[in-house]
Amino acid sequence: MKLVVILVLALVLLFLVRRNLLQVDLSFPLFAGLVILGFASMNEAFIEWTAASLGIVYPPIAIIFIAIAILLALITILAIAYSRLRSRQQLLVRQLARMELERQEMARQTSVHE
Amino acid sequence: MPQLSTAANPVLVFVPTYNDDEFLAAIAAAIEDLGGDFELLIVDDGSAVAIDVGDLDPAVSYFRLPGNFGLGICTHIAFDHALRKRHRAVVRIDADGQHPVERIPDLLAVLETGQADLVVGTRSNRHQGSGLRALTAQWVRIYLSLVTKLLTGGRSPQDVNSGFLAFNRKAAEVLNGYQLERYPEPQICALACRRGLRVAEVTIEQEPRRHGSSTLTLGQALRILYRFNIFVLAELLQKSRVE
Repeated sequence: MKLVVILVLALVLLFLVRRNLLQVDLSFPLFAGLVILGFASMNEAFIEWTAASLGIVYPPIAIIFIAIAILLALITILAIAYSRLRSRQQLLVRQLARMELERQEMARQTSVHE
Repeated sequence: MPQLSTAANPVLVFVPTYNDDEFLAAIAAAIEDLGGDFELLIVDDGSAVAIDVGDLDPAVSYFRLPGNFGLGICTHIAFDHALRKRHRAVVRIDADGQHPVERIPDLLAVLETGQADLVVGTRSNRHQGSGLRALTAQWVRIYLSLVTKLLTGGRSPQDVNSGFLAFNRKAAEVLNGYQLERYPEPQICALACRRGLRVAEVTIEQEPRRHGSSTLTLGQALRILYRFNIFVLAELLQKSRVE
């Protein structure tokens, strides 16, 4: 059942990428997170080892811990991507302003010559 | 309205505006009354309703941002324009009619002595106002002023939140190399002092607010403080890296 859930989630991601609703680059951390969670949920020895390493008394809680860590990582990656887009948008707006102000200046010069 | 300047290197007067176009015509007329070689640039920071450009003289340059980007981007647009068109100075005034346009020549006079790169119009009556918003704004101003003083070793002007500023080309070039934040005044003062620009002050009297009240909410105040603290931290880290 776990494998089916993971495969369904992977197919949903693939569908979103194919429909261009999700960029391939941005889908990578989501796929990576899915693989890690899938591996963790199906490998009891890994979960017990993780719980013991982190000092978690009840091993299944380790999966929740890993899931939260992955979510935080994904949010950080998305925030970085958003910040980059914002910086590019600001540069584009400055470029747009430069072009528009140049156009206004040329229009004024033309009207002065006429 | 100001006429198209014929001077080789006029002064750019830059007015950022956001949902506040009531005084633009009066500001433009007051600048014309100054009689110098001024060019007016209005940058609309994505107001809900676009300014009616038909009301403005064709000699006035105008740009409307496609959204609310903040004063930092507006300032960069003015610097880009001034540096490209070789204006000899840039003056920034607010669009709410509180800054005394007739004092622009006083700021420029200090710039043109060659003893300052940035002149700040320090408001002698900046602590006026009542109510929770005015009190919040006052505490934010005091905090920003204190931290800027500490960051610059006491070289910053008294009023680091004043939007009445005059820059020469050197200051515009230096400051344009940094990403200015949404409320950039304290950042401008701190950067200018720390990057070796000479900063001078001219005391001005701000006109009382003719309508509305300060738009500063508690949430905005917290964001301003957060942004400024991050800027200060980045500056301190940069200093320690250099050392």
